[in-house]
Amino acid sequence: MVKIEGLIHGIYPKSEKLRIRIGRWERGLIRPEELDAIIKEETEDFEKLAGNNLLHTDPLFNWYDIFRPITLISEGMTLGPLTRFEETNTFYRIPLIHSLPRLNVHPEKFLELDENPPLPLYHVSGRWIAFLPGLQTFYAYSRNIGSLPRETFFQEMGKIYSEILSKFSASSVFFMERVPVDRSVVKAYSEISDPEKTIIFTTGKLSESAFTGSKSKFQSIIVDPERDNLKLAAAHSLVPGLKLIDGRNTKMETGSSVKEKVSELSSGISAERVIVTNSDYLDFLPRSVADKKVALLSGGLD
Amino acid sequence: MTARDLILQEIGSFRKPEYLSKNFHQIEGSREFMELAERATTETLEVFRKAGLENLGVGGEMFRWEMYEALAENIENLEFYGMVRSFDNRYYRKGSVTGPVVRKRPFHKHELQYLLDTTHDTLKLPITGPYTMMDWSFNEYYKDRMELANAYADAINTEIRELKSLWDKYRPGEKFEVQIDEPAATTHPAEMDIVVESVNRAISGISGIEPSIHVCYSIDYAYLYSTMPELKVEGLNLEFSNRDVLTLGRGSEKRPGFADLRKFREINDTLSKKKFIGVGVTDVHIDTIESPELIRDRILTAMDLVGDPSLMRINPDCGLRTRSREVGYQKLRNMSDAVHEIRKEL
Repeated sequence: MVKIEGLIHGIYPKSEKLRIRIGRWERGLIRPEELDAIIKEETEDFEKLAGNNLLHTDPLFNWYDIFRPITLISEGMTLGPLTRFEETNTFYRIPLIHSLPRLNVHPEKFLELDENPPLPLYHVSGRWIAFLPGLQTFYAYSRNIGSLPRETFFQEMGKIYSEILSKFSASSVFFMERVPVDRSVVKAYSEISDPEKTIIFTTGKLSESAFTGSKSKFQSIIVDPERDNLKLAAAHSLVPGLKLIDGRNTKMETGSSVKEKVSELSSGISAERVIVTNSDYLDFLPRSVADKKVALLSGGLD
Repeated sequence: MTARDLILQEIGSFRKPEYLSKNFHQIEGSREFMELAERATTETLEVFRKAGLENLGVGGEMFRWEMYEALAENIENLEFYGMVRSFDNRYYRKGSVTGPVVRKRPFHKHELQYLLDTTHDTLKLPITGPYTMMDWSFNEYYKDRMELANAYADAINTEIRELKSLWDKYRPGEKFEVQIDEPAATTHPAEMDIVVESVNRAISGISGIEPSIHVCYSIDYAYLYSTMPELKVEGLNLEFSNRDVLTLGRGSEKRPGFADLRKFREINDTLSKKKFIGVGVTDVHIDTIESPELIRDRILTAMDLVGDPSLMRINPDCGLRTRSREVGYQKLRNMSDAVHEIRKEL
């Protein structure tokens, strides 16, 4: 029987209390330090909810979208207009790439940035996973005004990511790719951090060619729930992962349906453990539903 | 060019006066609410008249907080588990469909009744369309998105039928203008078949109406234009100014926001019954008040591209609810001044 591990990642929906406080901060009614303290408190509450069984990233309560904080702390990039995020009723500020990106702000320091709640980049305690937007995704979801070649962008962003990771004592890093990964990005990830401490969240059909020349196994490769994907993820990572908790629908999964799906997909595949995670970050759901999904992942899959 | 060309119309919403907006949710449905919404409607109709509009819509949608909620709150088996983020710290209520979609109460009957009781102006009723309702809901019940969109279409069809009966009691023989609001229409280009089927179903079998569709902030209107032969609406009311520039000048090169009206014309020219186009000539997302000269350039550019002014109506890009009432009024006023200037010239 395959052992299931729960993982929760990405921007988590804010509580009503936090939304109201952010609104007050935006209107200058509370000081940034007060907002920062509330975000820390809410992060602690999230960690309690997740419990000890669940791997998780910072809930990123001070992130408005997955690109903005990184864009704002880097030279060479600025925020563009509000743009529809994929095919949702959600919008993000499209990053504009002007020139070689360089980190120009200490990501671990408390700072107020334009159009974003105050940083530091992460508010976490204990063992946690650093969340970062995937390089291919960052490039694909930006407007490349400076015509920066893709490989150059990967290289320079890789340096920024390495610097961010070296400043935080995260146990591992989670890269979210919302487009199919290729060889160049997989190679970049193996250089940014230790592959055995690297989780790659992939999208679409995984291809063997993406791993050509890859010598080390990654900590986890998370895939859309298809057997061929899982097979490749098992071959190239220590613990393959499946997106089985729907991050775009309020319909609740059950422990038994998840276990059944894991068992069906992993039959005949060499994997002692499988990570089960949310198919998208849960900020697309109402908070009450997201809490139920976390509860299922943290305790309902044993 | 006749006086009936370039009809000046509203698209939908207008900023609510504070006396209505500050306690909207707390008093919604109460007698106090009705009185305040009626008062706000009367005042907004007056603003529209003063601005020179010729079609006053429903007086700025004072009875509705927001286009999705206005229907969702009146539908059976649509549950709200909480707010969902749209952007930054802005949220909306996104419902979850947990059973069959059934209209449990009329959506806009009181609003229309009030208008018919109090005004003889030309009106146009906006109603959120089935595709957008589907796209903005979580689906926990229906087997696919087409099935859910069609279920919404049936509920909307029931509503329009009832409103048409009410209309006929006051204005027999006069066409009832219904604008199907579908901001989500082109967000999933592979689903244009669902847009067409559900919108057609929402108006199916109802005679004596003039149905139109409103779409805004589309990634590419070509997806919508391609459906024109099948889509059983008589006109398209669209946003153009948000994608345009603020400098003066005429022609596609100087007015990039309007250039793709050429594609509209190409398809419209192939139709035996041509559709009208409501052209958005003022950007509702900025406080900058475009001058009558700039709006005139936009309209004249659009006229060149569409070819026939009798097929054109003039409107803001979208509802003006996000602008102050003062800015909203001035944008409408300048729009009206530009049209009157053009009518005089031509």
